[in-house]
Amino acid sequence: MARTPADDAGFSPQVFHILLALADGPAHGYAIMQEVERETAGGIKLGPGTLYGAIGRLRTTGLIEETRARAGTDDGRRSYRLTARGRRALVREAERLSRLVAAARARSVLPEGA
Amino acid sequence: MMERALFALLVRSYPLEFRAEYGREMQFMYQQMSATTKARAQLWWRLLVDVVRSAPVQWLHALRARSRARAATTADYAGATCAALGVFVLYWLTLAPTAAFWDAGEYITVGRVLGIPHPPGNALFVLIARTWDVLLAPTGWPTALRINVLSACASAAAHAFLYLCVHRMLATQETGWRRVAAGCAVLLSATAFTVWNQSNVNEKVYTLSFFSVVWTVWLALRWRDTGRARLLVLAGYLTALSMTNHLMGALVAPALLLFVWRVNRRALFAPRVWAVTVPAMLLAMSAQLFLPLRAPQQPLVNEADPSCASLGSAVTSIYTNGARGCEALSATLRREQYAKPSILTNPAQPERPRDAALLGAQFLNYAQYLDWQWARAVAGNRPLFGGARPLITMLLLLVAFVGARAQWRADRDGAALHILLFATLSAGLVLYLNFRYGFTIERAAYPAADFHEVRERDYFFLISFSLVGAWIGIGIAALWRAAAQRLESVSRHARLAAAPVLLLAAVPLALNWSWATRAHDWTARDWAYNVLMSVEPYGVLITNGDNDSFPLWYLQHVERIREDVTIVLSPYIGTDWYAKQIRTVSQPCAPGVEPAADATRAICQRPFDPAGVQPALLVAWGGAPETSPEDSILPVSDAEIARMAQTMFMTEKPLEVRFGELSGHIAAGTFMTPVDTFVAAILQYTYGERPIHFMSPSSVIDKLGLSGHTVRVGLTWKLRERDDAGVFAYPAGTDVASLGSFIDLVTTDTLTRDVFLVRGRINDPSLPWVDHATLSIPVQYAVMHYAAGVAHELQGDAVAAKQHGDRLRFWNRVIGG
Repeated sequence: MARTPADDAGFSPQVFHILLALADGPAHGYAIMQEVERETAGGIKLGPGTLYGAIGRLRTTGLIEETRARAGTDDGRRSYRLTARGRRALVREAERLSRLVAAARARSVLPEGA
Repeated sequence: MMERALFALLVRSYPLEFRAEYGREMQFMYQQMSATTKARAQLWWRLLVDVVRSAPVQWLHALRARSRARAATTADYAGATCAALGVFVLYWLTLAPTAAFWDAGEYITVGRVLGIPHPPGNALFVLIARTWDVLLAPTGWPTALRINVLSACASAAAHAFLYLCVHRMLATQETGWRRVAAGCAVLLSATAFTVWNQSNVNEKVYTLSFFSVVWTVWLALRWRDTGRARLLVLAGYLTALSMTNHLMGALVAPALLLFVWRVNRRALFAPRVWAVTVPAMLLAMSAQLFLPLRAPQQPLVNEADPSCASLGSAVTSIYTNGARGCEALSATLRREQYAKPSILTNPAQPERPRDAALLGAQFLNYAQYLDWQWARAVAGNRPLFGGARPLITMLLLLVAFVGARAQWRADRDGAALHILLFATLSAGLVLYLNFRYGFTIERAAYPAADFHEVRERDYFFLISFSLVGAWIGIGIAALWRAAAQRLESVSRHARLAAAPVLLLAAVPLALNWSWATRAHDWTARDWAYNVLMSVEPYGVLITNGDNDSFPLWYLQHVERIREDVTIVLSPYIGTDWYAKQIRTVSQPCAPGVEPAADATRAICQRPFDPAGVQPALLVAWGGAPETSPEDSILPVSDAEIARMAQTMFMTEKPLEVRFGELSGHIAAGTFMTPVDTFVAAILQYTYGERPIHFMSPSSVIDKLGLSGHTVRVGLTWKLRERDDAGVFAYPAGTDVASLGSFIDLVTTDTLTRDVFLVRGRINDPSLPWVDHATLSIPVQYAVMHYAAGVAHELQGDAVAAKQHGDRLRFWNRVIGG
């Protein structure tokens, strides 16, 4: 599979959190929004336009896909899940961020345990 | 309720594409947000900020996507025009200036005289060719050149559509690359040997079929983009119209139906579409009415004379494809003249089935022709996989595979169409046509001529070669792109650095040119001239087939040279329709009737024109005749002609037949056909009234036991007459089998010295004699010079013998070429 620029250049925080929200399984738009808001303690608040704009781009790049699984709902809403490629990209990004955090700690920018 | 409506309004600020995809989801999301948020102002502030931030971004994406989609489905007409112009220039540079061998003379003639060529009659071609001839008259070009340009234009136009098709099928790819790929596809198609060689002369009608097939494919692709059903109607109309040119045009139908099925199968069952398409197709087929309308007017070429008793019977015949209605027209439409055997039968041995060995040989024949397409000049004189040619073919076929793969990835529906069209026009045609062994294959196993086709038949597969060429072109572009991607890390101009890969596209151009070009090729026209001039005024010339007849038709009916000679095509003379035509063209003109009044119709004997003959030849003939013959060469009734056309018998004992003072001997057990009967009747009525010439070799003359009474005159043999003066008789012990018994040295010397034309490419030793099946033409020249040289040597004229010896060496070089 060819690598996309997103594979290497890192994600925007919004995109990273959307992918993270899908790490445990499929979810529909509102659930993703809630999960991102919870995960970031309200730091990132996605509106419908921003969320579905990002979902559209992630689908185009093949990082997420629509799934027939309804994620516990039966109201016809569409759910999304990570693709294998999306999961690999998420792992790489998480590792990259982890390395950044480790580097920051090594220079005492961040205290141990923070 | 009002808030929901307000949010719906906000959603409308996003572009249509985005709303269509996510609008409903956004509504769901809003409902849930609304249900769980009590602070309304906060909710609406959040929603408004979201719209202000994201809507412009989505508009930007949408506008870019629309622009890309427009670019993808927008036809590159400028590119297609350039491609067509380039192809036309190539064909113009290599265009035949006049008629060629085989059917070129026939088709050019029917274009001039609005005639009817051999079945199935090619009505649409004749109508187009005649119109084209008239439209191009202001150019001052000769008719042959005009009709040859028609072929070049049809093929160039086909390549314009090929460009558009390839460009469209690769729509998902980058714009510049698509153009390169489409351009390469056109180049590889246009320079494929058979495509090229058939586009620079009008030898057949297949360039028109090629044009209609590719145009139909383009209509199908446009239908997919626009959804306009009228394009499907037009495709159906065009296909039916093309069938009135040749049935080849119908072979696009399976691929077209598959494409429509894959794209939108409901369109196949839409009554509204069929309600218009069927009448349109019926209307298109009415072009066949040209045949029964023109035939009764007796055009100079009126093969199989498809006249009908009534318009109703003609219409029935056309719309039942010859199953009912007018007998003559049905026979033409169904090509009954050729008595084609069943596809389950061995065509060379009708009592045997079409077995695996024959089928293998037929596919081998196709492979042989495929091997000719990209490097014809490599070991050109070894027609069956000669030299390194198969290696080049294999290499390019691998590239074709790369191209087909790239096409499949870009457009599966288009690729499926391409694949099925190729399968239909290659394997499908091989199975349907059921040829005998190819002209140049299996000669050792089957030496008899009857086991083989009389000529190479690669032209039938012209469109399939174009389709393979298109794949190769796409493949070359794909290789170029792949090479450029690899070079990106080491070069800032990777595409330019990889450009040498594109040179592969010029391989057929370079390696086919000397074999495909027909520039300065006067050989067939000059052959016809030399043959006609070998015949004395008002002579009858009995010919053997296409190559000693059709170029002569062209010369007589188009260039109006030696119209006084009555050409009797022996393969046709066994039919009643042809016998009647021969009777008409040789009958004396009634008082007040002028045959020149209509140069397109058979009216009566056309006069000998002394101004059209060199004075030296008139001297050799003993002057020009003062009067024209007093009777037709076949002055018999329709009933008598009908009886002779049915006469077949085996001689039980040796027969002696007398023609004036000549006597011939027919051996016991000789199978006499209508051809023999008609020729015998012509000799009976004409010997002593008109000079009678034969082309060599003539099986009729052997059957009638007249070989010993013939005199070589130039390129023909003449039945000896009582007052033939100056005829040289070869003494006993000379090579009579090659030389014959007599030669008219005075006339033959005059012809070869003062009359014969041998111009153009044949004099260039670097250019080959392309068609093995017509090598008998230079052989006849060579034998004539050999015979004249031997006669002069026997007479002690060393100078004249040397002159003929020099010409003999020239023709031997051509033969061995």
